[in-house]
Amino acid sequence: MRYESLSIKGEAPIRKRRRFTRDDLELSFLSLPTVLWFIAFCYVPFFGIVFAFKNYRYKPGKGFIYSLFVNSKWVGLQNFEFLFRSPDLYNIFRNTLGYNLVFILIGITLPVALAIMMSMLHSKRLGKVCQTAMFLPHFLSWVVVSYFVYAFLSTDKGLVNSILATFGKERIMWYQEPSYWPVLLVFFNTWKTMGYSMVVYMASITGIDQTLYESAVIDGASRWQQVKSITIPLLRPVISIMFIMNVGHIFTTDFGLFFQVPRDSNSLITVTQTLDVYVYKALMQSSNYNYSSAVGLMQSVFGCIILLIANRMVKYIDPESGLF
Amino acid sequence: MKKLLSLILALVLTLSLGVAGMANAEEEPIKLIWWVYTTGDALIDTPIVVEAANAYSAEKIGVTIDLIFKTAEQFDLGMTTGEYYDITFTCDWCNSFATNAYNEMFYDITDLVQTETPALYEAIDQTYWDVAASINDRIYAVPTLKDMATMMFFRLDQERYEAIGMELKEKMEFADLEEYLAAYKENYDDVYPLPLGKAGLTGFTNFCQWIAGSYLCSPYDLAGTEMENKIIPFWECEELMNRFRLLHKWYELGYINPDAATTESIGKDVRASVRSGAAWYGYEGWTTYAGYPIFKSNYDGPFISVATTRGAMNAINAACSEENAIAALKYLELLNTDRTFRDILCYGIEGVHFNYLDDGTVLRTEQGKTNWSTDSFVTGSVVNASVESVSEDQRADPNQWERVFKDYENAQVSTLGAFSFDRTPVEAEHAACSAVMEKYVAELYTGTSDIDEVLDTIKAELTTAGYEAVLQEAQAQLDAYLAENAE
Repeated sequence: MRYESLSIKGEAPIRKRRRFTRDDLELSFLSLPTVLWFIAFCYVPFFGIVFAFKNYRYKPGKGFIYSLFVNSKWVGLQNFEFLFRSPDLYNIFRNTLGYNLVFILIGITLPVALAIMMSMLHSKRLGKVCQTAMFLPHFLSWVVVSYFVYAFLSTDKGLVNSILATFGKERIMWYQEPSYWPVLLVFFNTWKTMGYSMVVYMASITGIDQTLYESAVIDGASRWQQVKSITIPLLRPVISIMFIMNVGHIFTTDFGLFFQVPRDSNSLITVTQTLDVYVYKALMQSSNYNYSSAVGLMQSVFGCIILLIANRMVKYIDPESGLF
Repeated sequence: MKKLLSLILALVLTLSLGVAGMANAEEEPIKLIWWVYTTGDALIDTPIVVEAANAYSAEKIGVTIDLIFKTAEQFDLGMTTGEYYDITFTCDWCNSFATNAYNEMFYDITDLVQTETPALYEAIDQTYWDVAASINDRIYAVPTLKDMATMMFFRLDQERYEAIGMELKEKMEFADLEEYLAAYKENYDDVYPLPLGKAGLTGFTNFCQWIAGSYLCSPYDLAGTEMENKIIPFWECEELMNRFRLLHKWYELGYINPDAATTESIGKDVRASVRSGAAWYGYEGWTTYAGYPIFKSNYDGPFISVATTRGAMNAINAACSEENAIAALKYLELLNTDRTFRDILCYGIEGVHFNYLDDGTVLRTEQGKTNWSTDSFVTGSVVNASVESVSEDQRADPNQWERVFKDYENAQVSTLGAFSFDRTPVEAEHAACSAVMEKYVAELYTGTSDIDEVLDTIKAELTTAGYEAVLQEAQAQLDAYLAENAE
């Protein structure tokens, strides 16, 4: 990534004719597996886009390519139609975009704040322990998390309800009551993703030249002033990159979070139904892969447009920080 | 050194593969891939049972199989992507026979089955070839002989109900269940009397023929009324609405587990006072399944429709060579005519998974119950398999099938004939309507929500999604079908 350039503060990037050096060769080799991965799984299947505009019919005995290009009829935009027939269209888009905006906001402020706090901890051991603890949820799949949550929130055997009952309070039907879930979902998502995104920020904080802080201390700057004038400005490029990348996924949601964790409870649908959940539920029965490709394509195209806009905006505000 | 070693290892591996390949090249039976239905995983003892079955069939007809278990979604995926198979399970409720046959995915066996396997053609009643297995007068599948009508039963916990003095009857109404649940609730408090998963009581809506998703239906009892051959949205079916109201009442009374709508399914080990299922007179499998005596009480049916006769079938891949197609038919013929062979795939290996009792019925061993236990229709003809007894003392009637088929004379027969709805013209509307219903069915089927409260919302949403277009299309197709077949 581009953290290393951060340490050379103030130097304007010198533009000169690039030459392919030995270093570049090594780096290219290093990136080879990733490049191959992207070619195999992102670029080769690209022709699958035609799926979204076809009515796919398999022809027995012929291959997939023949079936797709010869045996299947073009249907234009018909495959997009089913999505816009949904009476919940507004609800679906509100949830998808709403949750994602909240996730992006929290996903930047909280990890940055925590990373800064963590970097200032005197006890390095405590720092490592905290970091590991916060990182752990990242490795749990949503299905596993969903069972943990169920252990807490189950109506008749759940921990929370048992506690409520012990204190003589009314049991809450968690899985039937939509009003709690926006908060719960945001909480679970933050809990699960925070540790991972923090690592990126901590890495770049480590990369900041320590002499900057030393001179600040000599000038009598307080801790808060150091953060405000040194750490945050130097983190800004990383923050913008993370922001732009996340904005690109604004039409896609984590299916596990919105489907598995609420246990597919239909009473909660008004607050849990996002684009991915809707597509899954609508197409589980009919297994129409054309429709799901159509929605997938739409998500990517809109996501790409928004990403480009966000990148423009970021560059407009701060020419140094854009992704490209 | 290490490199050399691994090189040698690799060489040995390749060589052994080559040798194995050459050995196989000698006179060998035709190997077929057979996709069969499962709700979850493959059965544990699949390798040894298939080996035993292959040894038998290789000797008799020179055909062996590779048994592959697939769930409903895996069938759809496999069919769409063109994964290779020779024989596949197909029916009305999974891996849709009508859709696949219309799309010419299956081998047209009309001529082959009569010339190559006359015994198979004889073994199955002509009606089933005509009604169940045919599309446009061509035969595309081999029907599995089993209970050909739908009969719904409550599976009551005999031991506990008799202990509290409840009389169990062979036949009851859906609403009659209430007194049983009430009595149970009063006497036992370790489980909810009617624990449900999100799918609700299995098959309690089977008294309707479902034309599209869970929103358009045609109840069997419309036959003979002025509504005969009409397709209606579910809320116009009074009986169904009453059942929703009853379930909601039971839910409110605490008979149903409060988290039913979010529970995937009720496991085998929950001692449910009542479950529901489709079966036939003389079927005793539920007692074996539960581990304690189950009394079955008939509450719906028998109904006969094209859907029930298409309850289980086996079709051959259209991409098969003629040689493989014939081999597949021969294999299905053997399953339908040779009881010893049929019992291997149905019950496992004699002495390991089951034993014959003196009256010819079958008793499963413990290993048979745990490691090779699936619905018998999955692996072929049920009628041709031996009948299963529960224990030495609790024998099944070895001649139960005669009684079963005799009972069908009183069955309610669908007036819709072999009509099946081709929903391609309204696929977008149907997908949107299915999504609407998806939001409500679990809550309705488990009694969690009150139908009278949510119905207006459901109606409004279905209207937006375009159910009227689906209804019109379905009705038009049905009318056209009936007019064509009137002569």
